[in-house]
Amino acid sequence: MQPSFCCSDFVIAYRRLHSVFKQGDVVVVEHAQYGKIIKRIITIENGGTLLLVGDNLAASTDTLTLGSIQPAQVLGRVVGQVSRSTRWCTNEGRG
Amino acid sequence: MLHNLISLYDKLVGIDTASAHCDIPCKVYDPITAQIATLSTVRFMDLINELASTETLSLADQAKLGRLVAEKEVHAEKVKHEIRIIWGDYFKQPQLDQFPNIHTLVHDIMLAGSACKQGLEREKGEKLLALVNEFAAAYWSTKKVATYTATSPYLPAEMIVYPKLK
Repeated sequence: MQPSFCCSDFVIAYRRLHSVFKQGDVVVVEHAQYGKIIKRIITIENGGTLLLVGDNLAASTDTLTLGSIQPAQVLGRVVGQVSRSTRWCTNEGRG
Repeated sequence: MLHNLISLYDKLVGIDTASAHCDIPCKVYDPITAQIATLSTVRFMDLINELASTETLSLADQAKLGRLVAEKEVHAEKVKHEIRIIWGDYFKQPQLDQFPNIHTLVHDIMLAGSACKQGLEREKGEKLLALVNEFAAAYWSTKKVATYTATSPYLPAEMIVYPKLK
């Protein structure tokens, strides 16, 4: 999610029971395969399902791989962030 | 300051972690690199042990010994690195469900790799190769690619699990 978010950042994610999400929202999602992930909503499909994308396009798992997300899987929209400004995130290894 | 305070709270109480799940999408993984590095490790053991039969080591022999030991170290470490990458970056929940013992196998490879760095006994290299071959077979199985076992067409002429790619 660089450059918007970096590893070791803290975020506050909040949702109400009937929260409505919109394109561009950063959300924390409970993904069936990847567990808790933080991504940005790129598209909301007609049925209300969400498509997600990472801000760091070159390194993010792609939208197709992540699949459609049901709104019920969204744990919350990110409404706050606390960064350690001097720290930079690195992706080690081949992945 | 605020970050430090929250970090402290995280350590004491715990805050859920969310991953950005980044992955450079090359998705090119092949255990053959680890297998070849293992063969090299065994080969270096053989070459070092050949020097043991020499009554006295000339200066050139000593230089050769130093190089062989260094290369054995490098290649055993390479085995560990390559296996860790596939295990850490490729294996995800579906693959873990298919091979729930993969963590134990990878840990065994780490230990066997270290044993090869520490010692000269060929059996240690053979054990590492058996484990890495087992890992390779598991990897190809997750890709639904059949495998076969054949002797490597070069020294140390040990058995290797190859993908049957037709």
